Amino acid sequence: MNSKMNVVLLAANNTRSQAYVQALKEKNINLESIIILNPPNRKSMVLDSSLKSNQVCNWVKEGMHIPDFSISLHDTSANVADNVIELDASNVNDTNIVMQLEKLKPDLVLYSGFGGQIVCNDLLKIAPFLHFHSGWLPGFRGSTTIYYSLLEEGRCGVSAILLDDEIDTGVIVGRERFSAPPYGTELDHLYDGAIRAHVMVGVLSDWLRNGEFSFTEDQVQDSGEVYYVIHPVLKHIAICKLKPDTKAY
Amino acid sequence: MSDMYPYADGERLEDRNTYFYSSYYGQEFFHEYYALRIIALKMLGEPKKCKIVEAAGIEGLSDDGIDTKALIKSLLGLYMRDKNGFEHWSFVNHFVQRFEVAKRVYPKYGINWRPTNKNDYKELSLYLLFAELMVRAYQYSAKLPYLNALLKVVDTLISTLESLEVEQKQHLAYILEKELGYVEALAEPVRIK
Repeated sequence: MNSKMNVVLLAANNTRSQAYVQALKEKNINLESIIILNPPNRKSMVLDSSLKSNQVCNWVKEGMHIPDFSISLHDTSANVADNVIELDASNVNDTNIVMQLEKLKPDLVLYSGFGGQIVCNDLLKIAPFLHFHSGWLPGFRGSTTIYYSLLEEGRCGVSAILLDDEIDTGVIVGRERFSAPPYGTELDHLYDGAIRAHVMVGVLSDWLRNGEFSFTEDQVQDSGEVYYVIHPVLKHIAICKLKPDTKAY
Repeated sequence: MSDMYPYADGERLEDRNTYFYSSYYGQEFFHEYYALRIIALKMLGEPKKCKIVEAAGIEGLSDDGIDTKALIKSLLGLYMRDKNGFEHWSFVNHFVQRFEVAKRVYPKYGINWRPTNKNDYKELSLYLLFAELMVRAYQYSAKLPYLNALLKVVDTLISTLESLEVEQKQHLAYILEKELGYVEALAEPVRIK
């Protein structure tokens, strides 16, 4: 690993960031700094983080970390970076965040922000922002693509991209497919967090080792489909189609 | 008021749905969705297809921007003429994007697709036209973003059902039957009825 690289994790205090930091800790990857963004009125997420023993965990790949959301982001972060900064913020583009990040002079920013926000150019010009989208790009852009992927392909994907000023259109620097989880798996946080974190540690390890991304693919403008927040009817169909319990209906 | 399916209750043009992190209720949810749609259908009267006239080309575009009614009507007319050869998906996708962001349909958009008057969003005939556009778009493409937008605009229209005129109700009944057909076909292995 190239320990001279200055990597900063910009992390909204949410389950995805918990999954990322826990996966980094498990792989013994240390970062220079972590900036935790605490939105006002944040509700703590209580989820059954353990997979049910009777589930066929076909989607869990070798070396994949299954997050435990009972462990706070704050606690794990202290094991992954010496410099942990906590800010009150609900928007990644807050001036305070831009100033903090400028001071840290990162070579790379691992991004785990709030959903639905586009990172502003003031941030993007500080360093490359590495983001992990839970959809196979360029085919599945936008929101809740886990569900759309399950409906259309019966599987999911995660793409690592360098953010630009549009949604999910940046250069692809890593990609991996995942089997559909069994019926009953919590998708929005557990499955989503685990598969993104798995790709994150792989792509980051590769970059730290080589000082560059070993895979890059530009996205063709207007290719792929843009998806928006899934309607509950489609979400239910996607979940009910998961095996093996679908047969129970 | 349905706890499981609140999306078509209340005044959804004002209290807009976000659909963020919607809860999962299992098979019961389908019963609730289906039952509420059937109740709405019974209140709407005889389903009636809206009259679409074949179009020669795109209309409703000018240097000032977009006239929603004229553009959607011409898109529907071009669907009718070209069927699977329809080539104007970028306009359809712009309408989807605008609706998904605002959950509203505006009569005029600037050339940048921003509404020219954000307070002008209550013309229900435009919501019906947009819903009809989504019916055709899904019919000809089978792409889920169109069915997704159709489900959402139908939620909005059902929530405003009492404000609809008789012919508009009949048109909504036709759209609703299409929506139920699409959902049933997609959900066939999990049986929603």
